[in-house]
Amino acid sequence: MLAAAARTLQAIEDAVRRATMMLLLVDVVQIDPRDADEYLRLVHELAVPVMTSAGAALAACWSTARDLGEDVDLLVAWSVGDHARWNEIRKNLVLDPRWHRYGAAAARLRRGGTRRFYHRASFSPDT
Amino acid sequence: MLRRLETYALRDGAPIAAVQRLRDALRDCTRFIPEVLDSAIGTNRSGAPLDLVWEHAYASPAAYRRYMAHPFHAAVLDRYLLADSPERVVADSALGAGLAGYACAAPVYRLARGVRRILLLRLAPGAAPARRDAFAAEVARAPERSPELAVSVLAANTLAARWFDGESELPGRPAWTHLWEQGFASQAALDAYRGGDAPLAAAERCGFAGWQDVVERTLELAYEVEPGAGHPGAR
Repeated sequence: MLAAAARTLQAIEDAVRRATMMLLLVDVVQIDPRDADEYLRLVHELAVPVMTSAGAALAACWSTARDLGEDVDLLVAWSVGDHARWNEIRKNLVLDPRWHRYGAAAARLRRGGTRRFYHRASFSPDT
Repeated sequence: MLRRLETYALRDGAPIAAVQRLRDALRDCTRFIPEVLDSAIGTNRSGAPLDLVWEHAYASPAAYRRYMAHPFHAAVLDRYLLADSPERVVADSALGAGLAGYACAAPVYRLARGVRRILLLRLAPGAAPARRDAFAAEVARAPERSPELAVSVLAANTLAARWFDGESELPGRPAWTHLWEQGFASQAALDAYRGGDAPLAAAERCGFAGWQDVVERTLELAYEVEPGAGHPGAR
């Protein structure tokens, strides 16, 4: 019975996680390999606390190798629920001075990049 | 209705193509967000360090809230605007003029084509009520004295503190308490107004002489209106 309850709880947790992963905000940025560590530090120490307190959750942070003779591509994905939820998150960010400081610091290191919102396909595995 | 204006300083080195995409997206966003009314943009030609203005309106606070949560707003407009976006083309501005607006019963701001002039005003909080009323009365008389003024609306800048949902006041004191929204058929008409004998135009040439107990500070924007999809001036 305990095992069944644990499986039910796990199923509920998985469903909640899938529901909150319906919309991802994904930034892919290009960084000089010499600045990659500093950019990751900014994401980890500035962006994660600010975005988390605003209501988003870090879903992924991946980067390409630094020894390929080209800029590093760094992907940062945030789970933001849906657009109604993102509207609230955005309000919280705009009102948070830390977010503006993070934006300015990150911009100084970026050579380029894109921002897109992604919707989850039904068959996409949980991450 | 809610009348809303956003102003932007462009970032040094912002890619021209990206700036054009922002301009197009703002101007024509009615195509994707039908709640956005009377959408138009303009390139600021006043001396203020602001480059682009987006003027538009909403039928109600509820319509405004639909715009705020709309996917096109988040996924396209904000791509070029938000402080942490890798595709940002705008710069921070200390002028506090990023967003302004007011409630109105009808589209009193409407200008199909021509030159828009926005005078952002900080009215002295300690000004005597009778003096503030006198200033408002003088503004109300301005179109009679200056036929060049095709549009003249003086309004409290209520939207600056209510930018999230159009109704709830957020923390912080907006830099500008009021805006005087003007419209002219042409730049020549604006120039004639500015150089003319109307009392407020003359006062403005001298830093609002005679009204300095009421008008603490002003910021001018002026631009040729570029109407977007669905705008009365769209061709």
